[in-house]
Amino acid sequence: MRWALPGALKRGGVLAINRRNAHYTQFLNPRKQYPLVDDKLATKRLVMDSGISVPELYGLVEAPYQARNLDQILQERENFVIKPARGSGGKGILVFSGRYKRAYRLSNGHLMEAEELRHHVLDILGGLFSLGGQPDKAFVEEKVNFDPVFEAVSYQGVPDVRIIVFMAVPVMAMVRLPTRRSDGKANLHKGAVGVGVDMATGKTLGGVLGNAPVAEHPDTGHPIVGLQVPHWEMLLSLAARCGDLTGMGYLGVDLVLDRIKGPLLLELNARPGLNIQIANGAGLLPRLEEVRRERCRLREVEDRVRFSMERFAAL
Amino acid sequence: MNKSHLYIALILSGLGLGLFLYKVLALGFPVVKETKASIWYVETHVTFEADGGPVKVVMNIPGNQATLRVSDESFVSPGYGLTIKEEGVDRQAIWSVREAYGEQSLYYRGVVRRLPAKDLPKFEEAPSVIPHGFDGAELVAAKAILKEAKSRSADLESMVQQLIKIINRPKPDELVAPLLKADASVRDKALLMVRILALEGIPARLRHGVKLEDTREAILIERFQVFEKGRWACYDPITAEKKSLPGQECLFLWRGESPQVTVDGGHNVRASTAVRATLEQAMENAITRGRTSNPLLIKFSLFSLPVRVQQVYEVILLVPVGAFLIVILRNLVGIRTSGVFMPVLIALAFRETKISWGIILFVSMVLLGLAVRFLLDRLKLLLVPRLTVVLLSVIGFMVAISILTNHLGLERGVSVALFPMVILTMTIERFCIIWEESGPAETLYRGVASLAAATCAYLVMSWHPVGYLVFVFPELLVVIMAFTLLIGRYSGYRVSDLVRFKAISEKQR
Repeated sequence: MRWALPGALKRGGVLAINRRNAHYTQFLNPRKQYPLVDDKLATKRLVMDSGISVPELYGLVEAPYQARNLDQILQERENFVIKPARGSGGKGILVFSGRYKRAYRLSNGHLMEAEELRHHVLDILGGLFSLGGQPDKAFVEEKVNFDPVFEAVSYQGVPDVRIIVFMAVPVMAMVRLPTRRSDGKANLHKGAVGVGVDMATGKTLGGVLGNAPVAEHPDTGHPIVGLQVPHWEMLLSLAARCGDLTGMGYLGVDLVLDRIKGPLLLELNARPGLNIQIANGAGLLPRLEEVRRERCRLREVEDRVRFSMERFAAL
Repeated sequence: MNKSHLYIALILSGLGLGLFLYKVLALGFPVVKETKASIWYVETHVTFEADGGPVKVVMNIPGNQATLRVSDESFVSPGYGLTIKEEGVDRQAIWSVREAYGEQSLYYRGVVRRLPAKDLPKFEEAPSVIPHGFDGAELVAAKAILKEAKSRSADLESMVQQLIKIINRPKPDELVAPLLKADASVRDKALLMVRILALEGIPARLRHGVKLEDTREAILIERFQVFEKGRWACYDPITAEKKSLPGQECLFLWRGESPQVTVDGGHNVRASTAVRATLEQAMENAITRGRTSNPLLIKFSLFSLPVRVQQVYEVILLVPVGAFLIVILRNLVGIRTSGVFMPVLIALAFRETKISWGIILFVSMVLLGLAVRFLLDRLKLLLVPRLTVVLLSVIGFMVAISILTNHLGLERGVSVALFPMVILTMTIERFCIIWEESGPAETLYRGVASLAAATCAYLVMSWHPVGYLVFVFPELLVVIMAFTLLIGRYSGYRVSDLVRFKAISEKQR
C-alpha cells in the first residue's frame, strides 16, 4: 500500500504541516520576532552580540547602485557565498569556489560572468527570492571550510546540521548533505540527503532522499550511517541558546562545522520543514509533548541539553 | 485549546442555514432550478416598404394548443385597423390601412404559458378533410404515390413516413414529377401530401413554429401533422422523423399552409420572431410572497438590483465557492498549486472559453510566455521591468490568438482575452523560477496541479445548481465561511501527509 492510514501516522507521532502551523508556529512564534529569523543579517547581528560565531560577512548590497561595487566587495576572494537576506528554502543562494579570468566558478563547476553575477544580485534586491516578493538585500559571506568528517558524503556545497528547538530545548536533529541533484544546496526539497542524528551521541542514523530511506550518499556511494558529528554537545547548547535569544518557541537552527572555527550558526528558520522526521524515522509529537510537560524545571542551557541527550536517544 | 472558532462557525452556519430554510420553507423559493421555464414572451416583428396605396397584412398567429396557452396578446400597429380571424386553433391577424408610405413596422406580442400535463384534453374531434382536388393525370399520379407508400408500410404511421420519403426523393422521379415542380418548397411538398392523404380521407396539415428557448431570431420549424387516433401526430416534413407533441418539445406552432406573413401593397417583407424565457413561475411567486410577508428581505436582496448588476454578481458569488475548493485542495488534500487563487481566476476564464479550449489556450499562453521569459533572461533586465515585458508579450499573444482563431472561424479562441493577464504573467514568472530552482519535473508538477485545481474549480463553479444556489441563497456563503473557519483550525493530517510520512508509520509497527 502506498498510503498510510491517519491512525498509523498518529501512532508514529508524526507532526504534519496543519498541526505545526495551527498548534506550534502560530502560537509559540511571536509575529514580532519573525524579522529576527527571516532576515539572515538580523540573525547574524543578534547572535554575534551573545558570542555565537557566524560565517564572516564580507559585504552588503542594499541598493542597485551598490551592485557596481561588487568587485570591491569580492576583491580577490575565490571562496564566498552570495545570499538574499530574506530568502527562504535556499532560494537565490550561490556558492563560489574559484575564479577563471574575469569569471567566477560556482561550486558545481559552472562559470558565471561578473555581469551575470551582478544581475543575480539585482534580482535579489528586486525581491525575486524573498518571502512575499518584497525588496531585499544581498550579502556576501565566507564559504565555510567544512569539517572533513563529511568530505566523503557531500557533493560540492556545504553540509549543515539542522536542529529543531522546541521551547529552547533541542528535540530532533539531522545532517543535510548536498547532492548533485540539490546543486550543492543543503535543502531536502531540492534533493539533498537528510540523515537523522542520535540526540544522545551525535552519531548519524539512517538517511532519507526525497521521501525514501537511503543508507549511502547517492553521488559518492559512501555509507552515511554511523558518522560521528563533531562537537555534538556544543552544537546542542548553541541551538538551545538560539531558542532563548529569539524567543521563538518552535525553531529550526542551521549550523555548520568549520574545520578551524568550529560550529558556526548559518541561519534560523521559523517554519522548519517536517522531513526531519523521515530522516530520523520518528515523529516529533511525543518529544514535543515531553518537553512541554517538563519544561518548567529545565532552567539552564546545560539542563536542557542534558535533558534532550537523555530523553531523545535513539532506541 | 482555544475553541472560539468553533462557536463562531456554529453561529455562522446557524444563521446561514436558518435564512436559507426560511426562504425555502416559508417563502417557497425553489431549491432546484426548474429545468424548463414555464413562461415565454413571444414577439414577431414585421417590417416592409409600403407602395403608397392600400395595404393588407395577414399574419398567422399562434393559438392555444396542447399544453401551451397564449394570453396577454398585444398588437402594435399605429394607424392600422385590426381584425382577428379564428378557425379552431388556427388564427390570423389581419391589419389593413387605406394608405401607407415608406417603411412600416408591426409588432405582435404574446405570453405563452405551459400548463401542467393533466390539463391536456384526451382526444380532439376529427377535423374535416379538405377536398383533394386532383383530376385526370394528376389523380392517377397521386394514387400511384399513395399505392407505393401503402405497399411499403404496415400502418398509418409508417405509411406517412414512406409518403414523406417518396415526396422528398431526389428528382427527377417519374411518380412525383407530374405533381411537383423541380424547385418546390417544403410548403409545396407538404400541401401535396395533405391532398394525397385526403384521397384516403385522412386529415393532415402543415404547421410552422418556433422553439420556445431564449433567442433573438427564432428559426421557423415546419411540422407535418397527421390526425391519428384522436391526436395530431407530428412528422418532420423532410426527414420523415416522428416528432413528439408540440407541448413536450416546447414547440409553438401556427398554421403553415400560407406563409407566416403575407403583405398586399408592400414589398421587402421581413418577419422575425424573438422568444424570451422569464423567471420561473415558482420563483416569481416566492418573490411576490416575500414582498408582502417580509418586505425588507426582498428589498435588500440581489433581486432588487438591476438585471445587469445581477448578472455580474452571478459570477462574483461563484468566486468564494472556487476559493473554498482551493482551501480543501490545499489544506485537506495537500496539492501545491502555483499561486493561491490563481486556479480560481483561471477557472472563471474557463467558464467563458469552455474547458477544452480553456486548457489549450492557457497552456499555449504559458508556454509562449515562458519562451519569452527565457529569451529575456539573456537581457538581464531588472525584476519589475521584466515582468512588464512579459505582461506586454502576454497581451500581444492574446491579440494574436484572438485574431488568428477568428480568421480560422474558431469562435472559442477569440475569448482568450478573458484570461486574467496579470495572473498569467505572475504564473509565467513563478514557473520560470521554479524551473531554474527545482528543475522541469517540479515545474511540470506545479503546472499540472494548478491546471487540475483550475479544472476542479471550473467543474464546480460551472455546475448550474451551484450557481443557482449561491445566487438565490447568498446566505449559503456564510455557511461556506463557517466551514472555512473549521478547516482553518484543522490540525490533522492532509492526504499528502499519508504518502509522505508512510515510512515512519511502518517503523512503528
